Amino acid sequence: MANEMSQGARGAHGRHRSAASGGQLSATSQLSQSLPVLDVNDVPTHMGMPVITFDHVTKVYAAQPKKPALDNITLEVYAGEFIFLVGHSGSGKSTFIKLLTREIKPTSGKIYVADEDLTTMRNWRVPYLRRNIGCVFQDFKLLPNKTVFENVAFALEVIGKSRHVIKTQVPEVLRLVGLADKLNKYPDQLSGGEQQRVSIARAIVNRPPLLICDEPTGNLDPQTSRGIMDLLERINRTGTTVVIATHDREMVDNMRRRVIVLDRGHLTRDQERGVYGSDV
Amino acid sequence: MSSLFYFLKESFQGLTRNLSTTLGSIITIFLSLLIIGVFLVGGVIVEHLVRNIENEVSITAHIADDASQETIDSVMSQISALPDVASVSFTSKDQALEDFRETTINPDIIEQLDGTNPLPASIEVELSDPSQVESVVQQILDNTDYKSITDNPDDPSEAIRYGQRTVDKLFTVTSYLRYIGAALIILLVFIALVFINNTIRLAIMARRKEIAIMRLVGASNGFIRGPFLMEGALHAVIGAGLAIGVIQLLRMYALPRLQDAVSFLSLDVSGHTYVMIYLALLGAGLVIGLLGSAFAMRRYLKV
Repeated sequence: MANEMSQGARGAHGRHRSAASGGQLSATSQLSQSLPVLDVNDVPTHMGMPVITFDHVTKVYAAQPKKPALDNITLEVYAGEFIFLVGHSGSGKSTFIKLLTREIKPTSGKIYVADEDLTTMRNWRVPYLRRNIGCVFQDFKLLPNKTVFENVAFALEVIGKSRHVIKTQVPEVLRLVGLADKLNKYPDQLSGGEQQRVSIARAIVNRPPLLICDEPTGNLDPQTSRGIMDLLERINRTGTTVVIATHDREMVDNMRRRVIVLDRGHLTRDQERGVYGSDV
Repeated sequence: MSSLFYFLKESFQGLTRNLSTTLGSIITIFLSLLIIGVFLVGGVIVEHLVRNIENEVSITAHIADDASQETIDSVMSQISALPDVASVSFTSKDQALEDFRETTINPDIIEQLDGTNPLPASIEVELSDPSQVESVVQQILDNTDYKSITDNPDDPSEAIRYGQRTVDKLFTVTSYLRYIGAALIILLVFIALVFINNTIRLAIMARRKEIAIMRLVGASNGFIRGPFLMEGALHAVIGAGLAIGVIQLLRMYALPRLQDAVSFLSLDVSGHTYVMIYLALLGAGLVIGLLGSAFAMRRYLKV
């Protein structure tokens, strides 16, 4: 039964734009219908206050004082945008993400996330910043001794949400990512794509306005990756700003969203409906 | 409130997660607090004993048989005017013999006296501050009236008896005991701290992944630290509880036997004192537990 379902789900991932015609009703496609649909093409993206502002940000690590990890980066990300952050290893993508979650502070320049100045933010405020940022990683970062439900519930538990909230919100978000039937499975009983869905569910269960993904499909085969990207796009359609650091050329070229290219710490391209390009 | 419940749940889980190290730290705290507690109780008992003996310290100034009652009265009033003197009383020759008859273990001696009384009359001086015994003795010796009636005019100091040696020895012994006890307690507290620190360090290591995820999803620093503090405190409270239980058992079963063996000394300590000692042990345990885990978190848990 579970196997059948995952087969169905995988079929849905593969469908891209056309598979729905096959009459294959999977949990995921049912759910995307129930979500408020927002046609991103109609929304003027550069509107209102930016969610993320980098203002001449430079980050120099003590280990390499001559080679800044990020050099004088200035950019703005607006609410509801879907952004690819691309670049080689060592181009500064990880530094960019660590700056956003304030794991590290910039050497110079200002960073604002939702109007909050991260450079002057007090340490005790950082957890509250992170509650507004969902994070997804290449290695999923799931707890192996907890079930799917418990893994997602954990994120709510540790920010002090009530059991009632946990009991209603966790199954809902698991339905959204298409894992409603895998609540009681353990991570090692799931495929890579399913594990990544759990980690996405955990990242968005608290409904953060900003979702950051560091190589979310780095460990997955192309077909599964497609499914994950569909899911992220669907989350974006609910109004969540999504930032994805990726190496996945095909994905970026297919989706034609805003692309920000980093090269050895420099911002070399910032393009609406961009492609991966040959300069990366 | 719900997070308190969460901390408790986590710290109880922590008990079983690293059972051997957890047991190690609980036993270390238990033994440390047990030894500290035994020392405290022993200290209180010794303190009581010393105080009792101190209270029995009095000065006996012997008087020549031919001293006039007038001079004796005058000396007594002068002595009672001295500082640190609580009371002054007169023991006549007959009274001295009577006292001797009552306390001696060899009544035959009195028979051999053939009705003569070799014991001198004396002035008994009770002190309000036993530690001042030597200065009072000196002041009595300096008294010219006493010099005239002492029963040993060549060396008046020989005519005055007091428990000088015993008291001095007891004072030094108890002060040594105090130093040794304090040093031992510091050492034991240090060992217990190291053990708690290590146990919490291992608990932090074991939960590295969870901590990383908690930070990721925005758990507050207090929320991340809470379970570890709670775990340290829990170990300490369990250790303290065991120590208190064992001391209570010793008090109920071992102390009466010891008392039977040394019936001439009073080992009795009030229940109130025991309660205070138990509370002190519990408090010390809590402080050790919280400090130990706080040290571990400072070093190994960056939030």
